[in-house]
Amino acid sequence: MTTRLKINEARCAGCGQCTLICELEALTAEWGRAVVDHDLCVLCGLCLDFCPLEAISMAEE
Amino acid sequence: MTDFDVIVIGAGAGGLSAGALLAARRGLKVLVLERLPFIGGRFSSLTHKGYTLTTGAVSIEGRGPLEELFSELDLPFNLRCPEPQVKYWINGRDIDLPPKDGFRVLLEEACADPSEAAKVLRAVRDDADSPPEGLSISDWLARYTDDPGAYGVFHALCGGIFSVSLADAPVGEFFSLLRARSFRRFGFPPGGNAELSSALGGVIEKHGGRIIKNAKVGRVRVRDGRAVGVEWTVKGKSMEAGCSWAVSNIGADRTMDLVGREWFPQEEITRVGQVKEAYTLTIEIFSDRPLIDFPGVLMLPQAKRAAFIVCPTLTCPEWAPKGRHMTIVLGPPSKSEEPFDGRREFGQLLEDAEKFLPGFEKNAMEWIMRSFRKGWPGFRSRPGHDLGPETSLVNLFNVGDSVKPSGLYGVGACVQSARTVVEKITKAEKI
Repeated sequence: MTTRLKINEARCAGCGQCTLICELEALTAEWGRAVVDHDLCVLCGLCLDFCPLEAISMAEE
Repeated sequence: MTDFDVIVIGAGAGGLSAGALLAARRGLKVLVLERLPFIGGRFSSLTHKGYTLTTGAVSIEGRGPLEELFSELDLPFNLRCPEPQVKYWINGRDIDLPPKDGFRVLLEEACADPSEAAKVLRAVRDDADSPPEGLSISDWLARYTDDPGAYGVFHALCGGIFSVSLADAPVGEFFSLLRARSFRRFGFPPGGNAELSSALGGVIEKHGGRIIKNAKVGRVRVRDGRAVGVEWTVKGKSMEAGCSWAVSNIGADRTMDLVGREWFPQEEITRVGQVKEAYTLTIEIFSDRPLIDFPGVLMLPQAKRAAFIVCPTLTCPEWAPKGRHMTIVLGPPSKSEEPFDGRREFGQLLEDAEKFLPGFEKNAMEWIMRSFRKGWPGFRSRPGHDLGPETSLVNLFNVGDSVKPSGLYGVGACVQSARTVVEKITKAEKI
């Protein structure tokens, strides 16, 4: 089991707020939705707080 | 449990304006609960790699309700306005409209046939006082002309001001905007929108109010048809407080969810459900030189999706690292609804960016596509679908752009909605 950042696409609006605050550039806004680069994400969780739509979570995979 | 006179849910432009007026001018004990780690909502800004990016509002109205509010609260209103404010890019030329008869000049420049421009002008004059009800701008225009130039002019104005396509914009609201003469002057705050929203938050705290960030409101408690308190959690810790008044800035629909729909009559639930968001798409381009040389808003009547291009760093160089610039291409999608075809909608906006900023992809160091929709929209209500601030709960009001007054847009509209609510509370409290 690995913990990974998960975007709930039904909720994500693609407003890019998560991409602006992620200093590691692990998140990008593409064509109206957020996309995670799991190789760059260190699971700091900052984006979870800044997402206005609660579209980001940590999930066990 | 601490009690407050007023609990404000959501620290957006409406919530902060209401909180600031109630605390500073009416002496009420105010608590503001904000779910995000910063205040301002879509009236704020975040810094990304040294660039100041908006959380929603792209330009701020000057000489309007917000400036009036700042003046009343003795706050400096730091807004830098580009001069000239607006130009129109038609057939490869940027056109500065004369102060008088500007709309006529614009239509004549845009229409292929001058007699079509005359037809549309006559129609505007004839219908301005009593516009046909229930007609979209595209349907209204189709009665008079099929000149694509005329459609382009209305598309740029509607997209730039209401953030809706012509099919989604009622013609009556367009004339009401012209009459209200709102948003006649705009600019950019050098410290970003966050500077202005923080100033409002500062007023609340200076007058004994509290603002709690990262506060996720779970429920508005109701007893005998009145909101009596609010429950929330901060980082998993449950909290609650009682209130005499509740003001919600999170949208009329989500407010009902917090209260419980059983407290509202079906008619109100239906009316609130009919309010539709207006979506906005932006491309923000970072470069080492300005991609346009005009500091104001360059309207694009001949674009497919884009309504305008603006380079705010020509007015506020503080918004970018030294020597760098940010150019924004903005427009509404073809329809403000789901499912949203991001590749198609952004594809068209990118085509416009390429058409009006040739080679931008080569000249840019980075660009970001953002869509404001689905709960974080350009505007919470489309023109012509305005609700009042009252709810079936006598001491619960909505503020913000889901209940904005007709004829006003953006932050100014949110401020005005807050003023209405403050007047109602003041009257009831006999302050």
